[in-house]
Amino acid sequence: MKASGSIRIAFQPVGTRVEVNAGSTVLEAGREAGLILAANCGGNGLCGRCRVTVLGDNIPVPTEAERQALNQEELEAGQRLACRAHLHGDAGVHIPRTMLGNQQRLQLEGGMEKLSVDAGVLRHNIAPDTRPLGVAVDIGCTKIAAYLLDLETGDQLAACGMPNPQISYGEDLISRLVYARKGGKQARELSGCVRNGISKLIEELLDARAEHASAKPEQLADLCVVGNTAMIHLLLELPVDGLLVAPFVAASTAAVDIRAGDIGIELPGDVQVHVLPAIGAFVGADHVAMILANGLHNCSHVSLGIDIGTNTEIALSKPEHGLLLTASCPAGPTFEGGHIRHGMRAAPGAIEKIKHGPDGLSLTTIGNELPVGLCGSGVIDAVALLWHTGAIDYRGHLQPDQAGVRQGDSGREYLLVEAKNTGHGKDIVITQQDISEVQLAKAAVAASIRTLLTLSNTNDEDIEELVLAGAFGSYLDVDSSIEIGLLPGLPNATYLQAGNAAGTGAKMALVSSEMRAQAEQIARRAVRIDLKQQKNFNRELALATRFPKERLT
Amino acid sequence: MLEQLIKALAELEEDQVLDIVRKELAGGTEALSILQACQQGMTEVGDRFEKSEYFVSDLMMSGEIFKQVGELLEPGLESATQVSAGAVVIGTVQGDIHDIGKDIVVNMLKSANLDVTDLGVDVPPAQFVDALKETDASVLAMSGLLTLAFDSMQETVSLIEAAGLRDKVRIMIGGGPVDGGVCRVVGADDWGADAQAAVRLAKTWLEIGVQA
Repeated sequence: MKASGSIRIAFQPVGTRVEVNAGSTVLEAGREAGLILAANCGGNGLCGRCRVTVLGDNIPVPTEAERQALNQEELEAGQRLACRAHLHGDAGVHIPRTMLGNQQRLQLEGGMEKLSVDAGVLRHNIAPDTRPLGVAVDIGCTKIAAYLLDLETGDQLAACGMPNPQISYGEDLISRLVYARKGGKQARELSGCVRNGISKLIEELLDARAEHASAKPEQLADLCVVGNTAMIHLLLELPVDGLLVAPFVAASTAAVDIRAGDIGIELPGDVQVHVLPAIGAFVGADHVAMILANGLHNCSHVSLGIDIGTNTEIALSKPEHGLLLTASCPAGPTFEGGHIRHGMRAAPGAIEKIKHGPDGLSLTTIGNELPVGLCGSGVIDAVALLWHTGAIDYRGHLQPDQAGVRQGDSGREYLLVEAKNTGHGKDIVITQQDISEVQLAKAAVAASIRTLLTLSNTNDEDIEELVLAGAFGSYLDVDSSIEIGLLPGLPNATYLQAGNAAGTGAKMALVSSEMRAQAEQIARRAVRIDLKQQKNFNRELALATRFPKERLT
Repeated sequence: MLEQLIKALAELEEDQVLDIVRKELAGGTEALSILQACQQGMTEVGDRFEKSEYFVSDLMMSGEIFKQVGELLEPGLESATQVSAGAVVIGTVQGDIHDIGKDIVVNMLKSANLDVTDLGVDVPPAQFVDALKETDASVLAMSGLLTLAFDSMQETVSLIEAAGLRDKVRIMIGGGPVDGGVCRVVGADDWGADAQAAVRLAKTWLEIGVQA
């Protein structure tokens, strides 16, 4: 059975072809082809989500893991797990769009305010009479965003983004850290991924700008990088061991100034890279940038800043007490559509909004395509709908006598979209297990906010502003989030969905030394609260899994 | 009234549970009988979890209610002696601080009338060994969610062997990524996929019968 030599693999529907060694897995072949395939569990055959269909005559014999994850019918149709299926002959591979990282919607824009420029960081290390340009970069676990700025005016000239290429080493941060820890070669693979990604983005930015005006690599003078602490560690090849075990200590949280060439970003001039400082192992430079961008550190009122994601960061600013508290909590991948039966990333066909009106349900999908699953904001809306209509009780249990609730093959479920109205001809459901996942995730966020407020003697009434940063925070429906108890209902607060605030902060720091100094102050001033050490945290967590007893009308 | 208490706990109605407990105490019911009713309620919660009617959030809630009840009953229980069905030492291993799953197991074991020594989180191997010596427990349960926690589990097992206790103690492990393979590598006797499995294992090992 085992063929030797190289084989040719054609990927559909993208149309990429690649030649690989016989015996490579689909995932490896995909990497080779430059495709970014989501491997949730890091390609360990555990999550069963990387389903692809192998086409042609050389369909590999299913492995044990595949037999577990797929049923007979699926196996016969050629479905396999990308991380488990070893290809031994020429084949076609169909990759469902829910798995293709490249097509995700990428949140790029933060606030549109005019940036203030000061001379401090203008490096005249480029030829005279050329406009100095700079690039701000925000490295997230799922995506990298980059912005091209005119360093003299602070104007944004171009923006682009890409999925973080590290995603094929594991969707979650821990898998990637564990991989990097294996040795220098592995760590360099991961840093290389991001460095190449950044280089590619810089090229794209310059190309985009060059369509309108002169933009040459020689004009680049300065880069400013933010990201969570783990991403920065991986970029700079700092030791990651401390990030993996309690008490979770970063190798460094300091701001870094380094030459681009020294971190493998090859540019013609002597380009400097400034990395903003972090607050701690789980409260990174991206959070500092978010605080900076929204002025949470120097505003005059009590405000909360929240970036909800796999790791959720929260900042509470109480200016009259000079307090700036930060905390992080692991909310898990639920809000990115992970751990949800029909969850998916924010890609075409994902249900992103559900409205319940007198005429029934109205669904909005990304790209206005027929629905094939739910992304994070859709999941929140769906659970809010279940709560609102009484399909679940305050414990989150589906009520069998309610419309739409039925017995599925793994317990109760709610039929959201019938097969005839979906893009793949299968029902889209919310299972009891999904609801349970949402309960745990929303409880982590809600209990963290609650604990931070209690600890600082802050009443809900005191808070005047709640800033939601990050992709998920920008797309979620605030009312739905309050209704299910993910966010607190604050009577006097303005809720601001700030977009990619970390990116905005990076841009501000790119063009201003004053802003870099402020970022430095934020990192120094911020007090990191270890929520797990708070006595009542687990009780708050248990209580927060429930839904508010009163339904909003 | 105690029937109602069992039902209220099974339904996870905290206010009702605490209300009934207070009334019963005021009415002179022995703390021990109240505790036993609550243990029955907890058993029902466990059963529903096993039937997929309840989920992790429900176990968390039941644990919280049980803890509250414990605080109310504590003064009355000091004089009472309930014969423990066996002793268990439990903790989250060194390098890991996840405690939600571990706490659920602790509460379930307590409600199964076991004498539980909870060492908390980030527990060094030597502390497990010391606790086993002090309590004379015959069951050790180690929890860990991080892959790196497996090293700590393995270290702990080795240290127990070195202390000459391995034959006297049965060891189970649990936590997100734990499975049969991890169990073998670590050198534990068995593993549990969820809290109910942990309780079932402990009961089997302590030979106090397993409820269907």
